[in-house]
Amino acid sequence: MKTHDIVLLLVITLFLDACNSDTQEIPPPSTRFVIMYETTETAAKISRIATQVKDLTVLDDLFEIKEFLEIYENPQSYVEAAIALIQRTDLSILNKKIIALSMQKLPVTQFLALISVTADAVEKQTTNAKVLELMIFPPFNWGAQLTVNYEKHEVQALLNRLVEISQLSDNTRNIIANDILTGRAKQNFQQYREMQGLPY
Amino acid sequence: MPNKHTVKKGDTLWSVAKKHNVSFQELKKSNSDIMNRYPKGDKRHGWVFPGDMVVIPDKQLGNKEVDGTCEICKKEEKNSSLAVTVRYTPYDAPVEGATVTIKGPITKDMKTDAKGQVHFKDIPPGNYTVTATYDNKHPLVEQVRSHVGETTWAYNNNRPPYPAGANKCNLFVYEMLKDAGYSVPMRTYMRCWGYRTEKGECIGIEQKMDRPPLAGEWSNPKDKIGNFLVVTDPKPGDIIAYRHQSRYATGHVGIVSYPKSAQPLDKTIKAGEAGSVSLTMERQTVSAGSYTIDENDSIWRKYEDNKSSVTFRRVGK
Repeated sequence: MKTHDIVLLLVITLFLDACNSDTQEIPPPSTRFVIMYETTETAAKISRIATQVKDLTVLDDLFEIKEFLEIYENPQSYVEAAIALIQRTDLSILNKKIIALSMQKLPVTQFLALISVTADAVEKQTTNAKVLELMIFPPFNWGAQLTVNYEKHEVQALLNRLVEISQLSDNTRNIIANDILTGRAKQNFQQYREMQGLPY
Repeated sequence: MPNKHTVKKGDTLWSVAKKHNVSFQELKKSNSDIMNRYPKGDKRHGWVFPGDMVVIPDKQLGNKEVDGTCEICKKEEKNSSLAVTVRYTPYDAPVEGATVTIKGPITKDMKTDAKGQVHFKDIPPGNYTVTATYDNKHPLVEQVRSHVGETTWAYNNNRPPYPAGANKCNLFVYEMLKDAGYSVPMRTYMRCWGYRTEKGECIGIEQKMDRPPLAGEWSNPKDKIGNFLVVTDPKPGDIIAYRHQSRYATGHVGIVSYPKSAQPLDKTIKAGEAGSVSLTMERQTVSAGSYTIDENDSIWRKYEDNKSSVTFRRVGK
């Protein structure tokens, strides 16, 4: 999309906003326009990352890609787009896995919302369960949001929902039930950091 | 009815004899019209042309030893040759011990020397397809390849001393080396049975525990790990490790596997020509990826991206 096209669309949507100022139930057109634009831009960025990484033999290879780190370090700027993209059926599993990993540093509340949307998509079969598995329990060096915050009420509620999702592998459901919900995964996370010599 | 061969471009009486596995002398005797087409002394004596019908003698008869000179074939054999060089990619280096095969008027194979070269001498002219494969067996490579596709070392599996959630490429290498009979010194770390504060203080009991060397340690050439010596000429069976530049990543370690077979190459050798071709073989590794044991070029790609971060080691004596 060229700059003058974007400006034109923005002017049109702002005009439509003015015409629909009483409508409060759905976001006004200008907001929808911004989300749509950001989603398109993020999708293009994710595609470029996927081309560079080639495969996810070693997930850590993503850390070598500058555009990926931009998202990983600032997930809040991309979360709206991530929520939209994760539900799309025309996005590859590789691209969705990249999104799942890029959102690991989201604050807990937003992270839970993203997982919830992804879980819905898995149940509706618009997203592969492997994407959700990676989002819930990535390698420890990626983050451990659910593992570390397992005692929070809202985290436990979500974890209990996830255990019931039949599309998830038995291994993932066992990890949720026997490791994360019991606090064992949090101890394992500590042990991992000790083994790697990482700061606490 | 005797068998007949229709001459195509590039054929000679010698190549036809080889192709049908009959004596060159017998073939000449069976084709007096061709042999008499030009008198002895004429440079075209014994030549064949596209469309000529060459009579193929009965093999039983052809086995008889016939005296006489073989001026045409000797000249061709002595004058044509093909030198083949085989090199690795990436990390350019000669491939020693690769089997190079030429298929054409004759089929031959030879193993490359330390310079990655073979020289097929005294070969008949014609069109050849040149291939290179790596058929040597290394016990450690055989062992690690037998695990390709397994999920035993996946990050989300529990495999003591590593819990589910931890990448286990270093554990895979450690276990493979131990199984192959190598001694790999363990490293120690302090395990806190309790919890650690943000400052790293252990509220509980601390205990010294063992763990295998990390990928980052394998990749640090200054880090001495037993008698695994740093080398600069990686070969199948060596350890390959790289460290990421990112502060989040832990690096990766695996075993150098056999290279992929080279893409076949077609080469036409003319009479008297000393031809040469170069083939490349793609390097591969076997390592514990995030989900499965993989054989691919993923670590070598890292070498291409950032050459300084990759380290190779070999067991010293």
